[in-house]
Parts: sequence; C-alpha cells; structure tokens
Amino acid sequence: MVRFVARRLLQGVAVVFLVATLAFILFRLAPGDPFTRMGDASSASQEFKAQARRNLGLDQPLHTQYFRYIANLARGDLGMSFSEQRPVLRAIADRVPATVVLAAAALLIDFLLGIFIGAAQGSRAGSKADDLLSVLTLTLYSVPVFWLGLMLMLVFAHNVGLLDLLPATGSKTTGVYEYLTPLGQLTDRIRHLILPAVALGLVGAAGTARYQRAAMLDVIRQDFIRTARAKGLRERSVLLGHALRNSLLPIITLFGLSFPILLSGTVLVETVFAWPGLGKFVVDAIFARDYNVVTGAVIISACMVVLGNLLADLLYRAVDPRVRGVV
Amino acid sequence: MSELLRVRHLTTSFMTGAGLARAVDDVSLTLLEGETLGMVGESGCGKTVTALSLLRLVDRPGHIAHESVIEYQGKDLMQMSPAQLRQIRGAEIAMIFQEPTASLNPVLTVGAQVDEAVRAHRSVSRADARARTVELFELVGIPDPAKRVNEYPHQLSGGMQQRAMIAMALSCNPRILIADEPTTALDVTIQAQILELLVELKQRLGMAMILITHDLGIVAGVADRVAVMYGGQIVEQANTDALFRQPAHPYTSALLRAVPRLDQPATRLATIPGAVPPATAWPPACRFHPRCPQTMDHCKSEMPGLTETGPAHLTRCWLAEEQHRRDA
Ligand SMILES: Nc1ncnc2c1ncn2[C@@H]1O[C@H](COP(=O)(O)OP(=O)(O)OP(=O)(O)O)[C@@H](O)[C@H]1O
Ligand SMILES: [Mg+2]
Repeated sequence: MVRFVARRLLQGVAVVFLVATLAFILFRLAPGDPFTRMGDASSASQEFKAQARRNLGLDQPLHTQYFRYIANLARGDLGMSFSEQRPVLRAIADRVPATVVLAAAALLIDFLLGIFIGAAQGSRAGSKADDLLSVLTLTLYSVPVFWLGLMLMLVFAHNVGLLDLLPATGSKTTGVYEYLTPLGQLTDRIRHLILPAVALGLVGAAGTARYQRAAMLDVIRQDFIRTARAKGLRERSVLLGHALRNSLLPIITLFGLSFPILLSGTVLVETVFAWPGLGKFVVDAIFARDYNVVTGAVIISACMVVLGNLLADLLYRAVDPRVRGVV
Repeated sequence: MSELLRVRHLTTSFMTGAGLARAVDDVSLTLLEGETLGMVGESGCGKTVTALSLLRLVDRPGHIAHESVIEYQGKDLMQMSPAQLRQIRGAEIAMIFQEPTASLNPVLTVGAQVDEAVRAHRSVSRADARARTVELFELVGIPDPAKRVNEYPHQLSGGMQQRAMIAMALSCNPRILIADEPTTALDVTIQAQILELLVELKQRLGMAMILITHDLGIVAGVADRVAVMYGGQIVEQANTDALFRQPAHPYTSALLRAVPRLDQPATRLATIPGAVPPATAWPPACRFHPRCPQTMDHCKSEMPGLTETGPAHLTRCWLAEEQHRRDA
C-alpha cells in the first residue's frame, strides 16, 4: 500500500516534469513576450523594455532559461508574475481555495446525482422512465455550462432572477460578511456556492449518468447477478449489494479523469458568476502573456491530474479486490 | 415416494433479432423426493433455460408462457408473487451453475456471499451466519474454512469456487438442488471430485437433484432417471437402466455412441453429424429429422408426441412409437 502510493507519486513527479517542459517549450515558441503588448499601449522606450527583459533573464539563450526554470521549479519557485509583480505561487495560492471548493462541490453533485440517475436507469432499461431520463440527460449534456449558469441565474438569483432566492455573483457578500457570526459566514458562503456548483455539476452529472447507465446494464447481465437472485435476495439487495458496486468500477476511472476537466470547466463558470478563483486569473494571464502564471497554472493542473488518478486508483483498490496485488 | 416438483407444458421463449426463439418448448417432467433426475442433450438444446425457468430466473427478453405450470409441493410458482417466489429460491430449491468463476461476485468475499444466502432466509445474527458458513465450507471439503471464508473468488481455484457455490446452495437445506453442468468448466481430475461430493451430499442431506450435463457418462453412475433434451423438447425419458439398455430415440442412441468407453479404442467414437440448429429455426415436424439416420417421410410432416414406449419410458419419435405398437 505505502509502496504503491510512493511509486505512484514518483510517477507523478515525472508527469509534472514532462508537462512543465512542454509548457515551457510551447510558451517560448509562441510569438511575443509580456512587453510586446506594453509597447503598443504605453510609451515605454525600447531601452526600458530591453532592461526589463534582462532583469527577467529573457535575453538568455533558451536552454539556460530552461535549466533555471526547472531548477526553480524543483524548489517550488514558479517565478514572478509580470502583471501582478509578486511570486506566481502566492498569486495562485490566493485563488486555489475558491476554485477547489467550487470544483469539489461540483464533483459531488456530478457523481452523486449521475450515479443515482444512471443506476436507476440501468436497472430499468427500456422503461418509460429510462427513456425520459435519457432525453433529459442528453439534453442537459448538450447545454453549454455558461449558458446553463446564466439560465440558473435568471431563475434563482437576487435582483436578476424570477425567484430572487440566491446571490448571483461572488463567493461572499461584500461589506456584510465580516460582521457575520461564524455560522452566518458559512451559510453565506454556501449560498454563494450553490448556483455555480449546480451549473457545473449538473452538466457533469448528465455525462456521468450516461456512463453509469451503461455500466449498470453491463453488470446486470452477468452470471453473479443471477446467483444473487437464485439465493432468494430481494431485488433491492441484488441491485445495491451486487450490481451497483461492480458498476462503479468504470465510473471511478471517469472520476479520476474528471478532476482536471472540472478545473477547466470552472473557467467559464467563474467568469459567469464572478467567482474569485483560478480560472479567470489564468485567462487574463494568457492575454497578458504572463508566461509564469500560465505555466504555473498548467503545472497545478498536471498536479491535479496526478492526484485525481492516484485517488481513482486508491478507490479502485478499495472497491475491487482483484487489482490489489497487481497495481 | 411423493412428487416434489411437477412441471407441465413449460415453454420459454426469447424475442431476438432473428425472430422468436422457443428455447424450451412444452416441457413436462416430475421430480420425486430424494431422486436424481439427469438431463442430457447437446449444447443449445435448452437445458440451462429449462433450469432457470424452474425458478423463474429467465431475464428479459426471455418470457415463460402463462400456460406453464411449475408446481413445487402442490404450489404453482407461476402464480406466486415476487415475495413468495423469494421464499422458494435458495431455501427450497437451490441452484449451482456451469461457470463458478462468473457465478460469484468478484468484489465480495466468498464467505460474505454465503452469509448473505443464510441471512436471506433466516433471521440470524452476522456472527451466527458466519459460523454457519464456516460449517458449510467444512461440509463441502474446503480446507482451512475459517481462513477461506475471508478470501475473494479470484483467490480460489475453479474447484474451490464450485465448492463455495455448493456451500451457498446448501446453506438453507433445500429440498431440491438443480446443478447445471456443475463440472463442465473444471479440470478433469476436479470434475470427478465435485461430482462425488454432490452425490454424497445429496445422499446425506436427503435432497432431490436435477443434474444437467451433456455427458451421458456422468448420468449413468448418478441418475435414477434421465430426460434427454433436443431442440427445446424432451425427446426421451426413462429410468437410467432402461435408457442405457434400450434407448428408443435415435438421438439417444447417437448420444450413447458418442460416450467414450474404456473397452473401446477412442478412435471408434461416433459423433452426431450436423449441429443443433439455433432456437429461432427449429426444423418443422420432428426437430431431429435433418440429423436422424432413420428419417421417414412422416418425420418431416408431423411432430411426434411424447408417448409411452415401455414401462415409465416416454419417447418422442414416430419410429419408436411404431416399433412399440408392433411389439405389443
Ligand atoms: N438470453 C437469450 N436470448 C436469446 N436466446 C437465448 C438466450 N438464452 C438462451 N437462448 C437460446 O436458447 C437455446 C437454448 O439455450 P441453453 O442455454 O438452454 O442451452 P444448453 O442446453 O444449456 O446449452 P449448453 O450445453 O451450451 O449450456 C439456445 O438456442 C440459445 O441460443
Ligand atoms: Mg447450459
């Protein structure tokens, strides 16, 4: 077990290193640097820009830049953000909690709802309810996340919405939050979380439900389900005790792969709901050619991939005894 | 001996892309208390579907015709509610299957799966159920049962898996054990052991057994009576001795010639020409006529009924019927 995790983490380091290298190459190959745009807008002299490039080491040969970049990375130094004038790591760290909370809430909705709907469908395949849910989930899956977010806002949000139930934007009520009791603060944050998390989670749940339905259909045809019925179990025990657990195996893989995808999904949702997370920050950084921030975000994303897959593998081992000795 | 199971006109069909498959067609049979009924026939003859139908375990798109009667101790399973049916399954009639590996849930320990069978029919504590499971494992000859109950199916050999399945089937002292090709998936050396175990347990616990196999050799030593299936129908049914001594149906004779015997060189082993057609395309009239060495014109135009061709000997064949009439 410990050896398994250690080996996986070591693999993870290799993945992150490769991704970091790719990110470096891609961004240095792209034309322009942080000062290209500055030149158009401001009146900064050529001399000033040359000086700034020297300060940041952008005048060095590429391989020198690369080795310094990797060496810094190994020490956890992602460089300075040109636009924020402070270390990238700190700028990112400020925004990660909001994004992680949003992504975790969305993942929870995604998988709980998706598994529930898909399992219910799979065990009643071909019924009217199954058909209806298929239409519903496929429709939902085709809806762009930001559009769903806007629609939710138009129905439920304060001021703009029909029902005036929940806050539309931000992660807390500015100006009021500081004066609330701890419980009040928590409620305030949860109320802000609901709409963006639901927007992101629902679309994911629609996809998960499709997978879960197929997985359930697959399991339900197997011989051990017949054995379970033959020993006189209730249908509910057959489905929950035997079919569901086996059908979760493919879903766990999907879960691991969903981690980074949700992170990119948050970009749109964070923009719509003005959520103070990583997504919007990174988009701005791309337009500002703030390399270090973008590379930093890519590396964080790679870490998410590694962690997501490690988590999925651990879950897999918990559910399926057959892989315990193997991977 | 009294009748334990009485099946009449059992018909099970599947709606498939290729049309309606009548996998079991008008099968009638009885099982007496404590007896062993052998069911033989080539692959695709409908043995498994018959067995599953007896406990109404056929999944969609399979369907058991409403006229079918499956009486267990006078009560018709076809008329039972799901709750009543559950009280029969596993408790009164238990089943073991052809593929032990596929028949066990891979993510649960074998012990847990037997516990569950015990607790499905008896209100006992987890600890008591586990104690019973260990006892059952010992009964079916699994060495070191207290340790084995905590293992997962993939940690057991095929033979041990099948023993665990037998333990599960016996957990509630059923009156009838249906064994669907219980040894087919196992090594030859293990086959004999499992068969011996089944026969011994059947005696010891006083159960009746339906033993399904495609190997007449197995049936010879074990069964009191034999039903031969072809094309979803029973084509011959008799006491084991009578069937082996005087097979009346050409299909039975052909099966007998295909049994390897110690006193003959293996090269002389006959095989039946042709293959069992799919259940969607049974031949008209007598279903065996395209493969039968003794086909007559009548066989191609009209289906023979299952008629008496000897004492307690039923045969579905025009030729056998004719011969019996001549002898009488
Ligand atoms: N789920 C199903 N859908 C469609 N046809 C089926 C289904 N199950 C069985 N059949 C058909 O019913 C017929 C009888 O099958 P069955 O499994 O009972 O044969 P069997 O005698 O048990 O053969 P084997 O020795 O291979 O186990 C076959 O033609 C088979 O194709
Ligand atoms: Mg079979």
